[in-house]
Amino acid sequence: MIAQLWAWIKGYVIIKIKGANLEGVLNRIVAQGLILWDVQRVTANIIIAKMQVRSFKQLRPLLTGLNIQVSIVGRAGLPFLAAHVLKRKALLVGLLILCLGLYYLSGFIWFIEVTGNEQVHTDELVSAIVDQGIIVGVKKAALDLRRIENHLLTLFPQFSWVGINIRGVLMRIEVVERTSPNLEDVQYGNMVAKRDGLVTQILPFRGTPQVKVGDTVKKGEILISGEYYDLYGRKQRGAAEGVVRARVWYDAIGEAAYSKIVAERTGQEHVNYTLTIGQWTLRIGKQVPFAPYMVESHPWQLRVRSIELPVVVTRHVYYEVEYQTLEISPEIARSIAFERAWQQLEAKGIKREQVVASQVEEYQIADQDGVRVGLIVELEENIAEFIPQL
Amino acid sequence: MVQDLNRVAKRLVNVLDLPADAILDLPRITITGNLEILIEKHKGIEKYTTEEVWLRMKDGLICISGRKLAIRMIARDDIKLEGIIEKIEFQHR
Repeated sequence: MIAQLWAWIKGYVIIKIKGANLEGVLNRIVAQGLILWDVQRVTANIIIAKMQVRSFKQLRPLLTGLNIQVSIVGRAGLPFLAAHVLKRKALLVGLLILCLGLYYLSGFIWFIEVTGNEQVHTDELVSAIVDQGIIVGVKKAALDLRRIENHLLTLFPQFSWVGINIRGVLMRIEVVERTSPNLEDVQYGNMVAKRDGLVTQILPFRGTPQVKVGDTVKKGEILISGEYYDLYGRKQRGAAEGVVRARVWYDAIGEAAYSKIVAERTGQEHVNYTLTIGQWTLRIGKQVPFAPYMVESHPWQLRVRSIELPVVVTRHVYYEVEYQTLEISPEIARSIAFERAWQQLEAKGIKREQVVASQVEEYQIADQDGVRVGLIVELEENIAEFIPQL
Repeated sequence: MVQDLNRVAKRLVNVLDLPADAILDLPRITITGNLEILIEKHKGIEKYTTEEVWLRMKDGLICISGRKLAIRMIARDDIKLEGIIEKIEFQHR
């Protein structure tokens, strides 16, 4: 393998030896210290072999007077290839341009990788990085990595370390986030009511309850204070913890009309096409002969592979319609309004099975064309919320 | 005289466990499966066809027969043959 490579680098010729007693000729050649390889017997008096260019020069004096013909049938190796390539100037120039192009392009960042962020959302981090001028295609030399690292550290107090390194055209941004201490352990604060309610149960884990079962509380009222007295009677200040369940009320209003306008198809249909080229649109087929109508359009875009060409053919199907007014009975309208009110509550995260009691009130809308339903539901939930005080 | 010397050399090789190829000027033959054969210290080619290659050695001939035999490389002392080797024979003079 190595010998072959070496032979290729130094260049070799493929020779044809013709004559009688070729074994004797081979012996004579190798006895001179020359090396032959890939020797093949073609016919009884022809042998083809490979040898080094330098050896070939010593060959002729060796064979004079033997009635042997030697001819070169091929040349191979680096010297011949180099001579061949040097003749083709355009190829060389192209290679040079390619190398320079690669060198030039390797001076830019083509890939950016961000790892390690969990608390900070990637989009947020990426936009901060983009603000610092790090985008795909930025020149490497223009970046001051240490300054950007420091900037990110000050921008995101959650980070304890930021490392930016560049490997070729890949930029790696690694961040390490602080593990935040448990705020409730070190702070002082109270459990406060999230909303108005009637207290049904108090489970204080730490702190002093400020309300009793049966009290009505307003939003923002302290339910469990962070101040308490420990086993030895000393006053302590800490973070209150506990559950305060209360009956709370939510209300919502839903409305529904007594009539509804629907479009009904008459069965009349009309089809035409449009051809759009860029900004320019042409109708093929007749204008719609009726109105009002509903239309369904099916565009068909010409594309080559995944490139969309700016040529669109659209098939339009027109259906003639008649508008009709449907009467809705008061019972159905009421249930629709009721359902809409419920949907509002559900949007706030209330589940129907949580509800302890509900109350429905019905109002007529002034112009007598619909109904309004007010829904008040009562449920029991934890209203205590920790508010730290600094 | 020469034969006596030879006998002594053979004795020495046996007794002292010396490498026979170095002392006795014998060929060293390395065969890789039936595909390749390398003969070091050959003394020239006697006959070469694609079915048979006769090589001279110190006192005799080696015949390698097979199919599609070709000389992969030949130098003053070494020769490497390729092909499908079927038989290797020694002929003493």
